[in-house]
Amino acid sequence: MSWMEAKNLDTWIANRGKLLHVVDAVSLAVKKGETFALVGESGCGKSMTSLSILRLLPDAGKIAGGQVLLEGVDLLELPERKMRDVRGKRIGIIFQEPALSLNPVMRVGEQIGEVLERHFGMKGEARRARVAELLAQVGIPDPDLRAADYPFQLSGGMKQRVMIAMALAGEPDMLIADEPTTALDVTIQAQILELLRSIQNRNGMSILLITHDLGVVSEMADRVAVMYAGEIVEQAERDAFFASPAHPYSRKLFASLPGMGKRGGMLDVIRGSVPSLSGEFSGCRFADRCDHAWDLCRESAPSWFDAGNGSLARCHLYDGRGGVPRLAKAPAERGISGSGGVVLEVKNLKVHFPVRKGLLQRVSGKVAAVDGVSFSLEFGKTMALVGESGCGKTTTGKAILQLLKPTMGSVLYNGKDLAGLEGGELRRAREGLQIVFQDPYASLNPRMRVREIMEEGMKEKDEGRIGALLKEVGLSTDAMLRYPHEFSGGQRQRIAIARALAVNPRVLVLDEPTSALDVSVQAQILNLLMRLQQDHGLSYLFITHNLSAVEYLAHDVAVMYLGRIVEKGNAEKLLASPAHPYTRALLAAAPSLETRKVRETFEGELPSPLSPPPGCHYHSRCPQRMPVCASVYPEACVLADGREVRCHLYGDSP
Amino acid sequence: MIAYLARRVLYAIPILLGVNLFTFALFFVANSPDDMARLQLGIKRVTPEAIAIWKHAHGYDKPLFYNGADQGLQRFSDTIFFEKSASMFAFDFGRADDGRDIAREIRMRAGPSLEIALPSFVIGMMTNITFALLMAFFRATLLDMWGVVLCVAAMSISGLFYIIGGQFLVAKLWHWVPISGFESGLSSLKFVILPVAIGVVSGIGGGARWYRTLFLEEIGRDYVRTARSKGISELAVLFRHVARNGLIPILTGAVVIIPSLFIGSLILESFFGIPGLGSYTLDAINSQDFAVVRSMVFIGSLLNILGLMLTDISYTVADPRIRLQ
Amino acid sequence: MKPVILWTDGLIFLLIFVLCAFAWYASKRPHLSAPWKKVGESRSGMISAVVLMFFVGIGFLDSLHYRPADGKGAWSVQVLSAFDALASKMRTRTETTYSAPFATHSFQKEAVLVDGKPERVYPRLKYGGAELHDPARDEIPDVAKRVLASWGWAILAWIAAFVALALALAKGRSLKMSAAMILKGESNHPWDAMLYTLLALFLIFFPAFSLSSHYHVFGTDKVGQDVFYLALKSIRTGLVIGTLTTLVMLPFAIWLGILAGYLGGWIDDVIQYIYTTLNSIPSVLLIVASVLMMQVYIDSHPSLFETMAERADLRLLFLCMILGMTSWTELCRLLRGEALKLREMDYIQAAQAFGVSHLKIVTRHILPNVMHIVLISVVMQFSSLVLAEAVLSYVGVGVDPSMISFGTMINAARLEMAREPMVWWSLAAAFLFMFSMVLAANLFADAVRDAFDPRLQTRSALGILKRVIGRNPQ
Repeated sequence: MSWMEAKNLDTWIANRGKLLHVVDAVSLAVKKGETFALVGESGCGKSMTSLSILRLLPDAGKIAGGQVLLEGVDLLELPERKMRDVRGKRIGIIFQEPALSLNPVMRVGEQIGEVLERHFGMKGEARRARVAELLAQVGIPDPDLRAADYPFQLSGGMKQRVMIAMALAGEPDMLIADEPTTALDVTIQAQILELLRSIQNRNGMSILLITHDLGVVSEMADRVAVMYAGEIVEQAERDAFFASPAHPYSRKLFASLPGMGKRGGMLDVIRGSVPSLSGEFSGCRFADRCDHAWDLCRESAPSWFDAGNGSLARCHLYDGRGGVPRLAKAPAERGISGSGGVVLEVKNLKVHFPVRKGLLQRVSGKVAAVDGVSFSLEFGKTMALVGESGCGKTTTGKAILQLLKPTMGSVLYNGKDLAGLEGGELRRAREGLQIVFQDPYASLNPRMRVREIMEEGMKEKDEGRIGALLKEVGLSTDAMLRYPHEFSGGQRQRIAIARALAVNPRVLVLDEPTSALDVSVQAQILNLLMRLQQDHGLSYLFITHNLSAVEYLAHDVAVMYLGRIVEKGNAEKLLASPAHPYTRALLAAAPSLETRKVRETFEGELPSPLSPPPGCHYHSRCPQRMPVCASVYPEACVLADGREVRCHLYGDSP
Repeated sequence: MIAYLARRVLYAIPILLGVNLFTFALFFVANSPDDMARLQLGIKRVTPEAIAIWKHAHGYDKPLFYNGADQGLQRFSDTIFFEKSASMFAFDFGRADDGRDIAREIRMRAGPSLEIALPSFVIGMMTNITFALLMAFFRATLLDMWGVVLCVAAMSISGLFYIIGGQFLVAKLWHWVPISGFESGLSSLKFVILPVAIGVVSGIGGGARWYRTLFLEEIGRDYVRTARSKGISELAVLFRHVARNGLIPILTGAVVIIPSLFIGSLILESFFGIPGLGSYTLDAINSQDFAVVRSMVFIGSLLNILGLMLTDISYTVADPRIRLQ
Repeated sequence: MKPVILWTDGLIFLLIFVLCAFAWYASKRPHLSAPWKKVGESRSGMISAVVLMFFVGIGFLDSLHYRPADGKGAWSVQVLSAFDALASKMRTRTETTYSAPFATHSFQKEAVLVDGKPERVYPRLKYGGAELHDPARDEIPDVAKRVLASWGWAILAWIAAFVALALALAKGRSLKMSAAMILKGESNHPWDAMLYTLLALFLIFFPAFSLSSHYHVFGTDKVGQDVFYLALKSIRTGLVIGTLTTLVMLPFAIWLGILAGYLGGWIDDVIQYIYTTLNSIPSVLLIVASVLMMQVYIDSHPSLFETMAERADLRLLFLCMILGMTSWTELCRLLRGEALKLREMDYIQAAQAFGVSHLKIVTRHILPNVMHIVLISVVMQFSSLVLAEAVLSYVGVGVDPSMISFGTMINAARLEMAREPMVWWSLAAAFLFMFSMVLAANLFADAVRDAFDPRLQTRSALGILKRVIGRNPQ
């Protein structure tokens, strides 16, 4: 029996003068005690579905029709006053950005207590005790003290725990978790997911999990619904879904995920991008991007068909009218290769930011964002720099390009040290070095045409060459006359890559080039990067936190922790058998599609780089710490397979 | 935090010095004392002797910065800059053209100014915030729309018309209060009430509309959605969450004005015959009494800098994010 | 006739030229013209734009100055404008003292000889309704006749404007269809509202102008000058103050703000020091002190100015400069903050990686991306400057006393409310004109801000939503 059921939910949002049909006849049912996952790429309407259920849409949004039945009562028909009894008490919700979702000027205890007072009339001591209990329940140490903290005093993971405590305070029967871990690091994500699972085991509540991450779905869900362009296109049991996804879109989503297994080949991509929700659809919304689509798909919108295994799909392939699922053509094989010779060598690079304090602003300390990083990058190869946010990997990238002045150390490009060069000399010396940024919306000047953007680095204006470059990254030549806002995120990232290519670089620093993009677009960009490397012999410094992209693309990997590289070496070997406990934990924390694993949870959070723990920086979180770890920073130790590890477990510890 | 505040106080010193130098340059370098004398004595038929006598009588017959004729420190202290400008740091403002001591006059007149300015400020803030919260609560309804329209209309009327209109209706037509004048003590109420009311009303348009945007900006934030998701009422959301955040910039922004309330309002005071600093300044302007104007500029800047410091302090008090860092 | 270009005239022409050049430049760049299109779709914005255009038109006519021949082969010292020439009847037909609107008799009794005996009566005005034989009987029919006649002309002129617009928008359609489209409000732009506003303006001002050569529509002031004329002349002063002031301050605010934010370091420290210092002097007092000093300078150098108009004009320009000097700090602070943010943007880092020079980064990357802030602050400031002029002139540190402005009008009229019977028309005229000008400017500024401020873009969308979805259970 479904505990909560949405029927034909229909929601519109006004945005920049356009009307978007963000939720189009969505029906879903959540049973008691189960985890129901709603998956989809950004902008497909999954968050709006959850907000519609609670009637929490922004001012510019309206529910135009449908029903939300909670044990048979239609929430959309309730007067606002009655609806308030449902929010927080019957259904709790946690949001994606814990940093923005808590009131910044209210103590967290007060924010949780508000729910207790509203729904249980708790006051005074009872309320305080219950708040502490809730905080303890979500794994916050010293709950009594933390209850008096303001949100900004807590880390991101702790804030999300507070959000969960707040959502649990009303003892709801259902929790809506809207991308609960997207803003968090992978290690913290593992902790939060574990917490949600244990709470569910304890009190048997239902969870409506909204996410774009198939790994998270695989770990958490009992049932899955896939959303595309405002409508649900597939519903299935978790096992059936992961064994054989029915809808071509779902299948493509799996196929476009990078990973070790796809190394050396091209990724399967979904061509094009998600359609705008402001238009009317005549046929299947996915038809334009679907490999199987035929005329019928463009003419009539499919209804629900049984796809076997208990799965339902909105796809004409299953209506028994002649469509046969074709096998996607095997992606062309591409060898992953590289040729010897070092093009870029970083030696003992340090970037320290001074911390000023006191009356005269004297330098009282420093943040060692990058603290003695050394590695070398070979011609035509990819070196991945991985780590949690705040570990200094982006700073390293910027310091290599001299966008930030290194405090110490050298950056040898073609044997010439860039550090300390100024003006024209620097310009000439780093000519072959370029960078591609994470956010394609921030990396292109919105006031310049694509042509002007590309000409910026070029020595002479050459329209033919600009056209050729645009073609090379998969855009048409007339793109050069347009402005960045006319392109989608993936297309912008292509432009950013073309801009970098315009100066004939040898080395590209790729700073999280795909993390702002959807999975399907990520695959396109990774393929493009792979092809460019082979055609031009480019070397990449690939900065990322996405381990599956590393598995797919990198030759070498360097793992950073608090400004230092703790392990580096050949990608295949390192990923297959990580040596450093941190690397191991990092790999274990990444959710996996294959199994529903019980993972070793990561202890604690990233310490502040302002005062890193003494000795080995990682010892405060390391399950294998020894007495020596707290006092001596381990020397580099070269393993038999050529990997370099900084850990007392290896080599001859003193 | 204490170090931070101490740094703010120290930073005020060069600013004040800059203000002092700037006003000095404005008053003495752009126009020489000769020009001033000529203006005071009348452009025509002015003899060099008359100018010299005027300059001597007003203490302007010295070099600007450096007096070569003197000995030792006197070479710097026996100058116009030192006597007329630097001395203001010791609150020595000299005498006005009518011979009265400016410092004493300022002390006497600050009280009446404050009697008008302080109530206008406090009541005005409360009214504006109330209207803004009302409009924010009824946002996107007809009430809000008409509220905004009225605000825009109200802020399109010159302050002069509020005074003239208010004085005409309340004092002349209805005879509720005297048209102008001032008495000390409790009996001043009947003189004060109209200027205060006008001060409040003339500020509602701009103030309420501005605060409304601030509140609406807060209402759009994620934490408000979180608050709603707890099931608390819209009023509780508005007062416990939105107002608490929105009031931080409003109150800390208003703090800057508090010290400057002392110098009063030029226009209100002159219309209502309040013997405060505003009308004092206005009279000085009309009689071109530079010593008084210079002193008021200095005092005004001093109070303004004080206000800026108070703003910093109030931020650290009001906003935990700054207080605890 | 000898054309005279006063300082402020020159700057106004420059401003108009710059605006036209920008419009031409922006029309080819969609990201520049898109927000303006949105302004064009705002109803209140376009209504106020029509009203503003009317004011601007009068102000522009009033900026074409010349010196008429004095009849003796030389140029008169009096400087007149094209507007003065058009309104010469209003300008020259001054009475001896106060008279009420549409009065035919003086406001004050005078001693005249009636049948050889001195008697105190209200004498007939020299010009106001002078043609009437028996004012008590003839005035109302006469006024009505003139109003009706000019309404006829007004409607004709409006129809001409309507047809011209319909033709311009026809684009291959028939005139009838195009006109219907305009009236039904089917276009993206609120042409219908603009046309009705135009009609209202025509219906008010056609009769007003036509009557003004026979009556004193708004009465006369103490020295017998036509108040309607004074109010119309005040428009130019208000416009000049509202626009030139920002023009004067913009270079400071933009360059210092961007340089401080982009370069940082000691340059930032110095610029911050300068504007904090200027900012800590209360602006009223700073303006007062500066104007006072300017007054001293002007008074002690009378030989610098050939005509009184030139002196008044230069004083107006100085006033703009002083207001500009005191108001650039706020914009400068805003721009510094924005440049500080932009400096860290990826596209600027990318440009730095390409080795693009600082100057180029500032002009190509930063400047275009802060212009919306500049624009919003310019339009928002206009109305507060117009209001400030009135206060300053009232205080006696505003425009030259000989220059007609709202402030000088109010200043001259402030004691008239105390008279018995009351003289209310000067204030009423100043109030009406000033209020409609400032209100129009405020509404227009709102429309501009809504279109340019990225944070405020949901509001207009909300309207669309309401129109499309009538039924909503929420």
